This record gives sequence, structure tokens and C-alpha cells, in this order.
Amino acid sequence: MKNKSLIIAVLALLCAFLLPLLTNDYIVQVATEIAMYAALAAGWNLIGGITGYPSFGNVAFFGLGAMLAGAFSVNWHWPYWLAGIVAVLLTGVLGFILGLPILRLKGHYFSIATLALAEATLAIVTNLQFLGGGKGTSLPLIGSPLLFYYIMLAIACLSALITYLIVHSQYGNTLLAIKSDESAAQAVGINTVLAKSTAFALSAFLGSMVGVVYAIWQSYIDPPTVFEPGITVLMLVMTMIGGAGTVAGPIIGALIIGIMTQLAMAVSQNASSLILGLAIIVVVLFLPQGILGSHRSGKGGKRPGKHSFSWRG
Amino acid sequence: MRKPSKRAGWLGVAALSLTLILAGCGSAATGPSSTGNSAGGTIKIGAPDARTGSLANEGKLVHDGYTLWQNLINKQGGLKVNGKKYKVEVVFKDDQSNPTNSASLTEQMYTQDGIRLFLSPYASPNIFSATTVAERHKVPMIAAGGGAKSIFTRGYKYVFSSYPYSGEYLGSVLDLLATKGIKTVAFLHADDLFSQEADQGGEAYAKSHGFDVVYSAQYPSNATDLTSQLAQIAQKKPDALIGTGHFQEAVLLVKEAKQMNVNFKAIAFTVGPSMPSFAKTLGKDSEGILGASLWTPDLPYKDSVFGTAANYAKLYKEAFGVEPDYHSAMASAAAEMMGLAIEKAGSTNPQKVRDALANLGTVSLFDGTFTVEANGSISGLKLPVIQVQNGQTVTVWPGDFSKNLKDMPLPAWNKRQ
Repeated sequence: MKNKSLIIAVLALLCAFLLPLLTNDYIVQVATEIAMYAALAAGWNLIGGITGYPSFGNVAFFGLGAMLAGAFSVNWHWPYWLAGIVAVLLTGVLGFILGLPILRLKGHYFSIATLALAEATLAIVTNLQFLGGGKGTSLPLIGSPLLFYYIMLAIACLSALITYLIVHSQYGNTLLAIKSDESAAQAVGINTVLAKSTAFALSAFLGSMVGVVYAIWQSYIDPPTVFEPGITVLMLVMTMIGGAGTVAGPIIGALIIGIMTQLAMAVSQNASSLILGLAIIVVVLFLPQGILGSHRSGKGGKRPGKHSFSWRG
Repeated sequence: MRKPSKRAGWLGVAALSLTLILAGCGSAATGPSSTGNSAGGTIKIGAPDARTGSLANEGKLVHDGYTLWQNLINKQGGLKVNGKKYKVEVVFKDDQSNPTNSASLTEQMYTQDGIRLFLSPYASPNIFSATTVAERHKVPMIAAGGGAKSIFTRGYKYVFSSYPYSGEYLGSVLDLLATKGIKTVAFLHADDLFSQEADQGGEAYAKSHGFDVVYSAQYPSNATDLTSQLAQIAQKKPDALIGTGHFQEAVLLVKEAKQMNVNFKAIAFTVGPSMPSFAKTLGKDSEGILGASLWTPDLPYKDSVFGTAANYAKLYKEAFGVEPDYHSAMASAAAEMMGLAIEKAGSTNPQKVRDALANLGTVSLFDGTFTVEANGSISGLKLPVIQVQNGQTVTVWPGDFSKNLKDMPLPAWNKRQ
């Protein structure tokens, strides 16, 4: 039984790996975006899905990763890989430190605080000349579309692996306990502050890693683009559609939204957002637990707290 | 822990089938890419554009500018390539004002639609990302909608432009002020790419042309209060205020300067005065305020496609029912450059068109005379200045237009009627 899911995962990965052989550059570009959002959604899932703290500000980490790596490489002439590693580590540490106060809030209050966090980060970055300010940063045109596809794919796989390891570990049970009943978890001696902040830091770490690659892939970044609140919304919607708290949910969600976006654009250029929006509403109305969640409850009954998405915090 | 194998199986199947669908989309669409550019006697030119999203207003102006050129060329029989006339078609795809989409749509048009010649989307960030795709594929893209200098300092070989550098926008305003005995100026600018470059260029120009820059500050875009900056400016008593930002900030500065009774001999903005709603919102307080512009219908230039600048305005109004703004005119000029290059190259081969663009040299179009530089930017365009007079915009620069100038120095706020 265990082998079967492993075989399917390997087959899916093989398909993704061989995809560029069958298609053209445009599809590779679309697939790169899907892999990118899969990684971002998986990062969001760590804090929003598994821990049950729906963050509306994860784009801040994506943006910080991109802007910091750009600034280090342009201003200090660091090689980009080094600039990227330092940017990712800094953002991860920042996520941990910011998590300490923000994760004291619950439910909607937490969501609002993270929303404000993203907006405040945007304002600060826009006014720091070191980070390029409002002018943005222009990076050299290097690498090939194929290279960036495989890097994004690797980050998406890494995100899935981290999620898998967490879900099947003692730490995962700790986060599950926090999601189910935080007071009870605290009462039995779990260091909830540390556990939550670590999850937030991991989420920041992954988001920032995607941002670093995005910056060099696009070769030009400016704050309004990399701090676009819609990016957080996509992470959230993808995770919810796929199934919050699950390993494969964010990836399935990213695939579905990515392909639906392309189909909607093929149907109508002007109404693509409308079509996509309606499709999301339909999915959320009829599959409130996400695709994996609903499948599960149909087969073996619901296990609230593990595979369902809870707004109770 | 129990392994959810059935679920994993189901999701695996789903993932596989989605991957295959995606692969299918791709291979099905590779077909037309080999057919090339001029299939069926029509030359296709791709243009990602901001049909929707935050840039939709300016996006429409650019869209209409390209469309007007396309319709006119087709009405005149088409572009003459090696003795044969070809119709043109500008293919638009909505980037929703998002730079990432600008890039992926350029990629889509290149790969799936087989388009090899491009006009840019609106706004510098979108141009930045779309041109990276054009550069990777070695196909030319002419930018109309952003004059950020950094677009052209990346060493790209396939990006061209109809816009002067943002840093040159204020040159004409300063030339005008110099003839009116203005000595001291205060600069105030927003923090976005365009405003920063326009301001830095303006300040450098002012310093090298004998002005005394007594104040310079940056404020966040969409600021709702600029009184503290105005209070600091008032202490320096500059002759002129030059604001580089957005429409609402220009309106805000005028309103707050009036409230605080901070008077200037001249006020100029990069964005604001040329828009009809500026005079409508501010009424008599907008009178005499100067605006930097790139083109007005009064300019004495002409070419063989559009005729005179005034005729361009007439054609535009017939087609779209409104007066053209400089965004539209500059977009039409970019499309016209593409047409010139195709005719000169005698081919739609992207490399040949690119080389023709690089060797256009000095050209005279309805928007003025300019020279295509080695890095793809243009130089030499004489930029006009406009002034609000009786609620209308009047061209007051360059040259003889200065006789239209009124209200210099500006009357004090409390002396206006």
C-alpha cells in the first residue's frame, strides 16, 4: 500500500521532469509558474493548513527574498547564489522573530495582523534605497527557461518533502495538537510558541526561496509586483482547493488553478479573471474541505483537525 | 500512522492526468509557430496590453494608439515589403497590468502564435519583464509606455523605444522657467520608478543650467498629506515648485499650498495638468500651472502616415471619440517605427527588422524628430510644455509657443478670481 503511493509520486515527478521534452517554451513557462505557486502554497500550508493559522501576509517573505537577493547581488556584487542563500536565511530568521508576537493572535486577528505585516513590509522596502526603493532592481539576463523550470520544480519537491516529513513526525503531531486545541496542547506541556514560530519561519524560508529564484528568472523586480497581495490569496486558494493540511493538496491546487487560468484565458481574454473567480467560488462551495479533504470524508469519515481547514485558530 | 494510500492513489492519477493535459495543450499548440510572421499576407505584431487592472486607463490609450496605426496602414493598402503590400495586425493580449503576465504572454505569442515582432505593454515594470523574453528569443520589441533609463542600460540588443528617458521630461519646463527669470526651485517627488528618474533627471538638469535647487524630498506614492513638506519648502521661499508624482498628489499639493498660502512664481507637474479632470477638480486654482508633456496636437511636425500632429488628433477623435493624449501619440509613433523598420528591412525577419531599427538613424514623425541611439533609446525629441488656461491646456513651449504663456509669475492664491 505504501509502495503504491510512492510509485505514483515517482511517476508524477517523472512526468513533470520529462514535460519539457514534449512541449514548447510557453508551456514550460506556465509549468514554471505552476511549480512556483505549488512551492508557495506548500509553504503557506505549513502555517495556514497544518498549524491552522491562516496567514494573509506570506507574500512578504516572497517579496523580501526577491528584493534582498537582488540588493545583495547588485549593491554588494555578491554572486547570485550567495545573495540568494543569505536572503533566504535572513527571511527565515525574520519569520521566526515576527512569529513570536504575531502568533499570539488567533483567527481573524492573526489574519489581519499578517495582512498588515505584508503592507508594512512593502512600505519599508519601497523607501529603502539599498533595496532599490520604488525603482526596483534589474538583474542580468542569465540561465535558460528550462533551468528555471527545474529549479522551481526542485523547490516544489523540497516543499512537499518538508511537509511530508513534518506531517509524519512528532513535530507534526505538535502542530496538529495546536490546531485542534491550543489551550489543551499548552496544558499538556507543549511549547506552543516555539512550535508555531518554527512553522512560521519554515513558511517564510520556503516563500523566500521561491522569491529569490523568481527575481533572477524575471530579471526585473519592483516592490508592487513582488508584494502583490493577490499572491498570498493564490497560495491560500490553491491550498484550500487541494486540501489544507495535506502533503499533496497545495500541489494539486496549484495545478488546478494554473490550468484553469490558462483555460479561462483561452476562452476569453477579457473575462478570464471572472471565469477563474467563478470557478473558485464553485469549488469552495461544493468542496469546502478541498479535493483531498472531501474525498477522505466520503471514504472514512471526517477527522477534524487533521484534514479539514479550520478558521477557529 | 495509517498511510492514506487510496487518497494518494487518487491524487496521483489526478496529477498525472493534469500533467498530460498540460503536455497535450503544448504539443497541440506547437503547430502554428512554424508558419511564420507574414502568413496569409498579414504581418502580425504582438502587444501585451493592460486591458484590465490598475493600469487600464493608460493601457487603453496605448491600445488605441497601436490600433489607430494598424487601421490607417491597412486603409493605405498595407506595408510595402519588397514591392508587395502586406496588411498589418496588432495582436493584443491582456496582461492585467501584471508584469509577470506581460512576460508570459510575450512568450505565448512567440511560441504558440509564431509572432516575431513586438510592441510593448504599458508602464516600465511591464516593459522590463516583457523585453527579457524578447531578448532571450532575439526578437525586437519597441517600448511605448515607459522611459526608465534602466530599461536601456541592461545591454539588451532587441529593445527600442519611442519615449525619451524619464529623466528628460523636465528639461523643457526648466528651459521655460529660465526665460522667465526663475532662479530657485524646490523639487518634490513620489517614490515610484518613473517619478524618481524624472526627478533625478530634472534636478541634474536644473543644477547644470544655473538653477539653485533649494529643496528636494521624496514622499510615498498615494500620500494623503504633504503639508509638512510644504511647510519646509515655504521656509526656503523658492521661486518655483516642481512636483513629480501622480494625479492625486498634484491635486493635493495645489490644495494644500492654497490652504497654507504658500505662493510660487511658477508651479509645474509631470503628471496632472494635461488631464482634463485636473482643471475640473481645482477650478481657478489650476490656472497658470505648467505641465510636462511629450506631445500635443499643436506641434508643427508631420509624416506620411498620419500627416500633421493636428491631423493625428483629428483621426484619433474620429476613431475613438476623444482627444488623444500623449500616451496614445507615443504608442502610434512606436508602431510607426516598427512599420518603417519592416519596410526598410524589406523583410519581417526579426533579426533584419532589429538591424533596421538599430540603423534608423534620425527620423521625423508626427511626434517630432529624434535619433535612435545604439542602446535602443531615442534622443533629440523636443518636449512641449502645457499650461492650464481657462480650464483648457495650451501649448506654451517650445519656441514660439511661449507667446501663449500667461500668469507668469502666478498670482497669489488669495488674489485669484
